Amino acid sequence: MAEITASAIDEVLRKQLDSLDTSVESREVGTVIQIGDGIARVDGLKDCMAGELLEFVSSEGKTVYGLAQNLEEEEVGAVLLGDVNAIKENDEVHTTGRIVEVPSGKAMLGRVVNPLGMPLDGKGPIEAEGYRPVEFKAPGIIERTPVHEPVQTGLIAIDAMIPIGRGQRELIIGDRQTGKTSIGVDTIINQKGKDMICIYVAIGQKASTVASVVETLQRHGAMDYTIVVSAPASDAAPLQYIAPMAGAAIGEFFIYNGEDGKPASAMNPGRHVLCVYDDLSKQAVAYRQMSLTLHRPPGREAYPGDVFYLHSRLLERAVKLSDKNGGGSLTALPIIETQDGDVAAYIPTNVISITDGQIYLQSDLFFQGQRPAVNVGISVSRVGGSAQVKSMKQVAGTLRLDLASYRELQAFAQFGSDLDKATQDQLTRGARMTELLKQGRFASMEVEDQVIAIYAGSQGLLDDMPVSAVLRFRAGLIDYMHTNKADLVARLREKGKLDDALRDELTEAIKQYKASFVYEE
Amino acid sequence: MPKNRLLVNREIATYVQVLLDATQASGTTFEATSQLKEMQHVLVEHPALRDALRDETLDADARVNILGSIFEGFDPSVLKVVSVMAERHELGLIHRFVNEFQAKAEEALDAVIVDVTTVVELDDALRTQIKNKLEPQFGKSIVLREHIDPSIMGGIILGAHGKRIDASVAKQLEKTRVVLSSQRSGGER
Amino acid sequence: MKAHVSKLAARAGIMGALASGATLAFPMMAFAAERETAGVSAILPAMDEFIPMLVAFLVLLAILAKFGWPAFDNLLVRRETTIRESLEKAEENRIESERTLKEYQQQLADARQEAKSIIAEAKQTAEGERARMTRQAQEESEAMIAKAREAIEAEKKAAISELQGSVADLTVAVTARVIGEDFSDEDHRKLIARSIEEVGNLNA
Repeated sequence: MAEITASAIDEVLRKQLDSLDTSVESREVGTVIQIGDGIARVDGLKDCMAGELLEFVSSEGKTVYGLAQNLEEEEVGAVLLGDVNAIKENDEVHTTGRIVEVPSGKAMLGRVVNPLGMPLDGKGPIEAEGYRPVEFKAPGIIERTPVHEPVQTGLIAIDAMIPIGRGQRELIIGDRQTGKTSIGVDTIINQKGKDMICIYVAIGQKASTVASVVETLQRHGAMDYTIVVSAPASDAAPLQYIAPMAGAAIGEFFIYNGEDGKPASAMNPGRHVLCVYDDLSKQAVAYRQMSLTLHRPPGREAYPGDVFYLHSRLLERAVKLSDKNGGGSLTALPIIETQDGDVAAYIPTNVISITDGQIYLQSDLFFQGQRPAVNVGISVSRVGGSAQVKSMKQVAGTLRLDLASYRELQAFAQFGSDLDKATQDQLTRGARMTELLKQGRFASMEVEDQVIAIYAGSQGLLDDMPVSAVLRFRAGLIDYMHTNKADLVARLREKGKLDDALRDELTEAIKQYKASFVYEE
Repeated sequence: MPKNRLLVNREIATYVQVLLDATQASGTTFEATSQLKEMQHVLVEHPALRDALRDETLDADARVNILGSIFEGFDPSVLKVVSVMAERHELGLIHRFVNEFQAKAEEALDAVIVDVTTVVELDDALRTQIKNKLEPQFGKSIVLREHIDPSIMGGIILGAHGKRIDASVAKQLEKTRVVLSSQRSGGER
Repeated sequence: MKAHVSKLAARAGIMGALASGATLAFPMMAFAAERETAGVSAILPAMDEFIPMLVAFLVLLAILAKFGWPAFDNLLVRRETTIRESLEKAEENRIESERTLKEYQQQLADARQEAKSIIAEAKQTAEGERARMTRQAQEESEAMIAKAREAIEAEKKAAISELQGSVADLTVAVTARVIGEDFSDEDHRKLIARSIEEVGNLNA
């Protein structure tokens, strides 16, 4: 379509010229009196508003945006978003009358952008459908409806026991190197074909890590419905600070607007968005840096007093809108990194109390080979249960309790060898169920496959096979079901729940496969 | 050394009053505002100078001498007041002091001081034109503080009370350039 | 052991009987041939010979009847049962083997059936897999083409915007140069006068 010809360029330029506004209106002007650490003190700007977008003009004519943070009697403390080194003392500052906005729209899908919506992937400019404010007050009670549709992560351990609903805020918490990002990325990959727009916000990470995540998403075809907002560690603290809000704002465009870009309503349904904030502890650190350099008083762990509000107002933007408002949803998966498993630190406790549950990852589980290293004992989902698929609820109902008692027994059984039959049975079952929850990376499973696998385990059909064969059996069983019992799987998917006939048929099919399964490799 | 806000305000008011009294006696209030602006600009422009003037190891005389040598030929009363500020380690207040003094000076002159920047010097016709244009807007008489700056390429920049109208050619061209090279064809702000 | 002994005894009895039979017959025949001419008396036994012979015969008979016959009879009965039993067994074996054969045939048929179904299943699996792979390959290639198109489009857009940017920069630079060099003070004053007319409210 876009031919590079002189006439095309000419036309574009003429069109742009038409929109040139030649009026000269008065603007408020201030001057930078001190700058450093990404913070500028500005003299003047008496009418400046808190959180307003400021325009810094360098002596070379370069424009850098800033965010008004501290409004004092005679000066304004602002943080710079962008090239900090371009601005010097005595440079001009203008107010803009706007708060920070990010462009959004379908054209952003598949792109990597910075927190201001500028492309970082070298794929040319992005044509925005609209703009959304970075700071946006979360919708109230009237506009919402309880969470009732599931978000499938594709991970058995989570979908079965810690189900997540659309519009929920589920915290992923754990030490470094426990697979927090993997859960987020696997969840995004599993949203393929599920009418979900995903936003991955990378805050304060290594640029190489972000690049590899992007590469992974691309390889699995997940970039088609994903936007990556990246504020790597090399970005200034203010950019890292607004990154999650920018991600939420980009997502909000999709839930408050229908497919056609018009505002969502009962007739024009909004879309579903999944936001992964990776991770909020780094955002808190960036905010702490900002606040300390702005001379705000430090509180616990030197975080400013409003760090709780920082996270609560961000996560409160996760929403499931009522049908009248288009029924769109924003699901938030914030990630928090703990130090040495300390969930009682300031930021972890804050975010745990804000979210609707947490997925707790533990490094000892990770190193035992239990991956994903979800500790199902202390992980919870406070609202996801009502969104869970019926059939899954049926088979997984007792799973959590079974596993809990298994772990109890396991600790106990290490002392004595003489165990009665019932205890031994429970141990056998528990070991196999635990094994069943293991899952490699990028090996997400459909919910009906998960149901079949858990059903096989809970019916004791795995009890007589060695633990080491369980995973192989699971994989084989799923393949077998899809190739030879496709109708059964289809029925299971359609019905969404298990009745007696379906149960019998399922047991029969699993037994059939088991008969041909070779335990020894 | 954070101080009580009210105390600081009173201190500034004292400095302003002293300078105002002195300049009114010599009739140089308007010139003093210009010189103070210039001083402020220089102090902000050179962080090294600022740091030197705040240096605790330098004694008060040395600081005053630095100021005196840099701002030679300035109104002695202006220089004196600023020197006292430097002596008392209160140069950080200079921005508020300058703003405050300008406001008080305008009050004393019963006029609005308007900064005018052009490429060539204004003639009287232009001065009257500006005054005629701006006086009804402020409802007060206008005093022009004229600056020459070739880098604006043409046109005029007017500024008062922290507001600014930039009708310079440089600005217009910059605007045009931004509009021409921006690709945003969709979306509404 | 006992059976063996009684068998031997029985055999001895029979031999005895035969031997005695022979001794009875041959002398008599020889006697008859000798006395052919003596008329009917030739065929009549001499009473003095006949009585002891009879007695001996009767004694032998009695002995045989008492001991020989039951043993002989026993032997027969046993033989009969043995034969019958073996016949029965043979019959049974035959039936058994027939059953086994049938079983084997059934199993063979089953195995064939199973093999068939396994093959069918495998075929189905393979077919499914093939279809899946074809589809996947197709999708992948389509996605690749689409991606390439997109990339080309993006490149084009980037090129256009770059070109546009440089055109704009150039235009502005030229304009600036013209104004800077060709404007006289009088021109500037005119421009200032016009600018003053254009400006809005400074005290807004």
